[in-house]
Amino acid sequence: MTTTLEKTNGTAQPSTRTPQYRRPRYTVVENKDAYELRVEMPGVPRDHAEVNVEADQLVVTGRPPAPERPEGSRVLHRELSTVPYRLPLRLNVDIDAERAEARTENGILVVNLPIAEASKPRTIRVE
Amino acid sequence: MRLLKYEPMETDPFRSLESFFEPFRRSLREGWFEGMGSQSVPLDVEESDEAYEVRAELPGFTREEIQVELENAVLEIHAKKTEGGDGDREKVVREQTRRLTVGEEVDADRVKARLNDGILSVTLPKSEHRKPRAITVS
Repeated sequence: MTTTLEKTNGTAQPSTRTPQYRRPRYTVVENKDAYELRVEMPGVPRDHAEVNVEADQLVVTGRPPAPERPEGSRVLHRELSTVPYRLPLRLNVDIDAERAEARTENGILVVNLPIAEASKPRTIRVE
Repeated sequence: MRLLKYEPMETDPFRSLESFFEPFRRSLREGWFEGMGSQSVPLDVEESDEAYEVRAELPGFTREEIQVELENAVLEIHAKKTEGGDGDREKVVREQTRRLTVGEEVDADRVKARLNDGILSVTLPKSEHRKPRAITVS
Protein backbone atom coordinates (compact mmCIF):
# COMPACT_ATOMS: atom_id res chain seq x y z
CA MET A 1 0.00 0.00 0.00
CA THR A 2 1.32 3.37 -0.89
CA THR A 3 0.35 6.66 0.50
CA THR A 4 0.56 9.58 -1.82
CA LEU A 5 0.88 13.01 -0.43
CA GLU A 6 -0.04 15.67 -2.86
CA LYS A 7 0.86 19.25 -2.45
CA THR A 8 -2.21 21.38 -2.80
CA ASN A 9 -2.05 24.77 -4.36
CA GLY A 10 -3.06 27.71 -2.23
CA THR A 11 -6.82 27.96 -2.03
CA ALA A 12 -7.07 31.47 -0.71
CA GLN A 13 -10.54 32.99 -0.81
CA PRO A 14 -10.87 35.93 -3.18
CA SER A 15 -11.68 38.20 -0.24
CA THR A 16 -8.33 37.53 1.45
CA ARG A 17 -6.23 37.78 -1.68
CA THR A 18 -3.95 40.77 -2.04
CA PRO A 19 -5.44 43.15 -4.59
CA GLN A 20 -3.58 43.26 -7.89
CA TYR A 21 -3.75 47.03 -8.19
CA ARG A 22 -4.80 50.06 -6.21
CA ARG A 23 -6.23 53.28 -7.53
CA PRO A 24 -4.06 56.32 -6.85
CA ARG A 25 -5.44 59.75 -5.88
CA TYR A 26 -5.42 62.17 -8.78
CA THR A 27 -6.49 65.62 -9.92
CA VAL A 28 -7.20 67.02 -13.38
CA VAL A 29 -6.84 70.69 -14.23
CA GLU A 30 -8.20 72.01 -17.52
CA ASN A 31 -6.09 74.66 -19.17
CA LYS A 32 -6.75 76.44 -22.45
CA ASP A 33 -4.69 74.12 -24.63
CA ALA A 34 -4.16 71.07 -22.47
CA TYR A 35 -5.29 69.03 -19.51
CA GLU A 36 -2.89 68.49 -16.64
CA LEU A 37 -3.31 65.20 -14.84
CA ARG A 38 -1.53 64.81 -11.50
CA VAL A 39 -1.37 61.28 -10.09
CA GLU A 40 -0.05 60.62 -6.57
CA MET A 41 2.29 57.64 -6.66
CA PRO A 42 4.75 58.04 -3.77
CA GLY A 43 7.73 55.71 -3.97
CA VAL A 44 7.42 55.22 -7.73
CA PRO A 45 10.54 56.43 -9.58
CA ARG A 46 10.28 57.76 -13.14
CA ASP A 47 11.35 54.51 -14.79
CA HIS A 48 8.70 52.55 -12.89
CA ALA A 49 5.81 54.69 -14.16
CA GLU A 50 3.98 54.30 -17.45
CA VAL A 51 1.31 56.24 -19.33
CA ASN A 52 -0.61 54.62 -22.17
CA VAL A 53 -3.15 56.28 -24.43
CA GLU A 54 -5.24 54.04 -26.63
CA ALA A 55 -8.33 55.23 -28.45
CA ASP A 56 -10.41 56.98 -25.77
CA GLN A 57 -8.69 55.41 -22.78
CA LEU A 58 -5.69 56.59 -20.80
CA VAL A 59 -4.04 54.22 -18.34
CA VAL A 60 -1.43 55.25 -15.77
CA THR A 61 0.49 52.51 -13.99
CA GLY A 62 3.25 52.66 -11.40
CA ARG A 63 5.13 49.94 -9.57
CA PRO A 64 6.82 50.91 -6.33
CA PRO A 65 10.09 48.97 -6.01
CA ALA A 66 10.55 46.96 -2.81
CA PRO A 67 12.38 49.15 -0.28
CA GLU A 68 16.02 48.30 0.36
CA ARG A 69 16.51 46.88 3.83
CA PRO A 70 19.69 46.19 5.71
CA GLU A 71 20.27 42.53 6.39
CA GLY A 72 18.63 41.26 9.55
CA SER A 73 16.23 44.19 9.89
CA ARG A 74 12.81 43.58 11.44
CA VAL A 75 9.54 45.25 10.56
CA LEU A 76 8.07 46.99 13.60
CA HIS A 77 5.17 48.61 11.84
CA ARG A 78 3.80 48.68 8.32
CA GLU A 79 1.30 51.05 6.72
CA LEU A 80 2.81 51.56 3.26
CA SER A 81 1.74 49.23 0.49
CA THR A 82 3.82 47.87 -2.38
CA VAL A 83 0.75 46.98 -4.47
CA PRO A 84 1.14 48.58 -7.94
CA TYR A 85 -0.95 51.62 -8.86
CA ARG A 86 -3.32 51.61 -11.82
CA LEU A 87 -5.54 54.44 -12.97
CA PRO A 88 -7.67 53.91 -16.08
CA LEU A 89 -9.43 57.07 -17.29
CA ARG A 90 -11.86 57.52 -20.13
CA LEU A 91 -11.08 60.55 -22.26
CA ASN A 92 -14.11 62.41 -23.48
CA VAL A 93 -12.04 64.88 -25.44
CA ASP A 94 -9.64 64.21 -28.29
CA ILE A 95 -6.08 64.28 -27.01
CA ASP A 96 -3.03 64.80 -29.16
CA ALA A 97 -1.23 61.73 -27.80
CA GLU A 98 1.85 62.45 -29.94
CA ARG A 99 2.49 65.65 -28.00
CA ALA A 100 1.60 64.30 -24.55
CA GLU A 101 4.38 64.60 -21.95
CA ALA A 102 4.91 63.13 -18.50
CA ARG A 103 7.32 63.89 -15.67
CA THR A 104 7.62 63.07 -11.98
CA GLU A 105 7.66 65.66 -9.19
CA ASN A 106 8.29 64.38 -5.65
CA GLY A 107 6.17 61.26 -6.00
CA ILE A 108 3.55 62.85 -8.27
CA LEU A 109 3.32 61.87 -11.92
CA VAL A 110 2.37 64.95 -13.94
CA VAL A 111 0.92 64.24 -17.39
CA ASN A 112 0.36 67.06 -19.84
CA LEU A 113 -2.30 66.14 -22.39
CA PRO A 114 -2.64 68.68 -25.22
CA ILE A 115 -6.15 69.00 -26.58
CA ALA A 116 -6.31 67.98 -30.26
CA GLU A 117 -6.81 70.91 -32.65
CA ALA A 118 -10.07 69.41 -33.90
CA SER A 119 -11.55 69.39 -30.37
CA LYS A 120 -10.75 72.97 -29.48
CA PRO A 121 -13.71 75.31 -29.36
CA ARG A 122 -13.69 77.75 -32.23
CA THR A 123 -15.55 80.88 -32.98
CA ILE A 124 -17.27 81.04 -36.33
CA ARG A 125 -17.58 84.44 -37.74
CA VAL A 126 -21.02 85.31 -39.10
CA GLU A 127 -20.63 86.50 -42.62
CA MET B 1 14.45 70.16 6.07
CA ARG B 2 15.44 70.80 9.70
CA LEU B 3 16.74 68.41 12.31
CA LEU B 4 16.77 69.31 15.98
CA LYS B 5 18.80 67.65 18.65
CA TYR B 6 16.94 66.27 21.62
CA GLU B 7 18.09 66.04 25.21
CA PRO B 8 17.30 62.78 27.02
CA MET B 9 15.08 63.41 30.05
CA GLU B 10 16.21 60.48 32.12
CA THR B 11 18.66 57.67 31.70
CA ASP B 12 17.80 54.75 33.90
CA PRO B 13 20.36 52.02 33.32
CA PHE B 14 18.10 49.46 34.98
CA ARG B 15 15.12 49.70 32.68
CA SER B 16 14.09 46.36 31.28
CA LEU B 17 15.04 45.59 27.70
CA GLU B 18 11.41 45.41 26.71
CA SER B 19 10.79 48.98 27.77
CA PHE B 20 13.16 50.20 25.04
CA PHE B 21 10.67 49.13 22.42
CA GLU B 22 7.46 49.93 24.25
CA PRO B 23 7.41 53.68 23.48
CA PHE B 24 7.62 52.85 19.77
CA ARG B 25 4.73 50.41 19.92
CA ARG B 26 2.54 52.63 22.06
CA SER B 27 3.16 55.60 19.85
CA LEU B 28 2.25 53.61 16.73
CA ARG B 29 -1.02 52.41 18.28
CA GLU B 30 -1.99 56.00 19.04
CA GLY B 31 -0.50 57.30 15.83
CA TRP B 32 -3.38 58.33 13.58
CA PHE B 33 -4.67 61.89 13.41
CA GLU B 34 -2.57 63.31 16.18
CA GLY B 35 -1.97 66.66 14.55
CA MET B 36 -4.87 69.06 15.08
CA GLY B 37 -6.63 69.85 11.84
CA SER B 38 -4.02 68.25 9.66
CA GLN B 39 -3.84 64.87 7.99
CA SER B 40 -1.63 62.10 9.29
CA VAL B 41 1.39 60.69 7.45
CA PRO B 42 1.36 56.96 6.63
CA LEU B 43 4.63 55.27 7.51
CA ASP B 44 6.66 52.10 7.99
CA VAL B 45 9.13 51.48 10.81
CA GLU B 46 11.94 48.95 10.64
CA GLU B 47 14.63 48.10 13.11
CA SER B 48 18.10 46.64 12.71
CA ASP B 49 20.88 46.20 15.26
CA GLU B 50 22.29 49.53 14.13
CA ALA B 51 19.29 51.80 13.65
CA TYR B 52 15.59 52.48 13.28
CA GLU B 53 14.42 53.37 9.79
CA VAL B 54 11.21 55.33 9.27
CA ARG B 55 9.74 55.65 5.76
CA ALA B 56 6.90 58.14 5.37
CA GLU B 57 4.70 58.91 2.37
CA LEU B 58 4.61 62.62 1.53
CA PRO B 59 3.80 62.94 -2.18
CA GLY B 60 3.98 66.43 -3.66
CA PHE B 61 6.03 68.05 -0.90
CA THR B 62 9.48 69.52 -1.54
CA ARG B 63 12.43 69.29 0.88
CA GLU B 64 11.81 72.87 1.99
CA GLU B 65 8.21 72.10 2.91
CA ILE B 66 9.12 69.22 5.24
CA GLN B 67 10.32 69.63 8.79
CA VAL B 68 11.72 66.75 10.85
CA GLU B 69 12.25 67.30 14.57
CA LEU B 70 13.48 65.08 17.34
CA GLU B 71 12.72 66.40 20.80
CA ASN B 72 12.39 64.54 24.09
CA ALA B 73 12.47 61.19 22.29
CA VAL B 74 9.56 62.21 20.01
CA LEU B 75 10.11 62.31 16.26
CA GLU B 76 7.80 64.78 14.54
CA ILE B 77 7.33 64.88 10.79
CA HIS B 78 5.51 67.97 9.62
CA ALA B 79 4.80 68.92 6.02
CA LYS B 80 3.05 72.10 4.92
CA LYS B 81 2.27 73.41 1.45
CA THR B 82 1.18 77.02 1.10
CA GLU B 83 0.32 79.34 -1.73
CA GLY B 84 -0.10 83.07 -2.14
CA GLY B 85 3.22 84.24 -0.69
CA ASP B 86 4.05 85.35 2.86
CA GLY B 87 1.98 87.12 5.45
CA ASP B 88 -1.80 87.45 5.49
CA ARG B 89 -2.28 86.23 1.95
CA GLU B 90 -0.57 82.92 2.68
CA LYS B 91 -3.00 80.05 2.45
CA VAL B 92 -2.27 76.51 3.65
CA VAL B 93 -3.31 74.11 0.90
CA ARG B 94 -2.11 70.93 2.53
CA GLU B 95 -0.72 70.03 5.93
CA GLN B 96 0.30 66.65 7.32
CA THR B 97 1.77 65.77 10.72
CA ARG B 98 2.85 62.60 12.45
CA ARG B 99 4.48 62.12 15.83
CA LEU B 100 6.28 59.02 16.93
CA THR B 101 7.92 58.25 20.26
CA VAL B 102 11.26 56.74 19.41
CA GLY B 103 12.75 55.97 22.82
CA GLU B 104 16.00 57.26 24.19
CA GLU B 105 18.36 54.78 22.62
CA VAL B 106 18.52 56.96 19.49
CA ASP B 107 21.73 58.89 18.83
CA ALA B 108 20.18 62.29 18.05
CA ASP B 109 23.39 63.72 16.58
CA ARG B 110 23.50 61.17 13.79
CA VAL B 111 19.84 61.23 12.68
CA LYS B 112 19.57 61.66 8.90
CA ALA B 113 16.62 62.37 6.63
CA ARG B 114 16.30 62.27 2.85
CA LEU B 115 13.47 62.68 0.34
CA ASN B 116 13.08 60.51 -2.76
CA ASP B 117 10.04 60.25 -5.05
CA GLY B 118 7.68 61.47 -2.32
CA ILE B 119 9.04 59.13 0.36
CA LEU B 120 10.81 60.64 3.35
CA SER B 121 13.34 58.24 4.90
CA VAL B 122 14.60 59.00 8.40
CA THR B 123 17.48 56.95 9.79
CA LEU B 124 17.74 57.00 13.59
CA PRO B 125 21.01 55.29 14.59
CA LYS B 126 21.08 53.62 17.99
CA SER B 127 23.51 54.93 20.59
CA GLU B 128 26.73 52.95 20.78
CA HIS B 129 26.12 51.85 24.37
CA ARG B 130 22.63 50.53 23.55
CA LYS B 131 23.72 48.25 20.71
CA PRO B 132 23.76 44.55 21.44
CA ARG B 133 27.29 43.28 21.88
CA ALA B 134 28.90 40.01 22.81
CA ILE B 135 30.80 40.08 26.05
CA THR B 136 33.73 37.73 26.30
CA VAL B 137 33.87 35.66 29.50
CA SER B 138 37.38 35.76 30.81
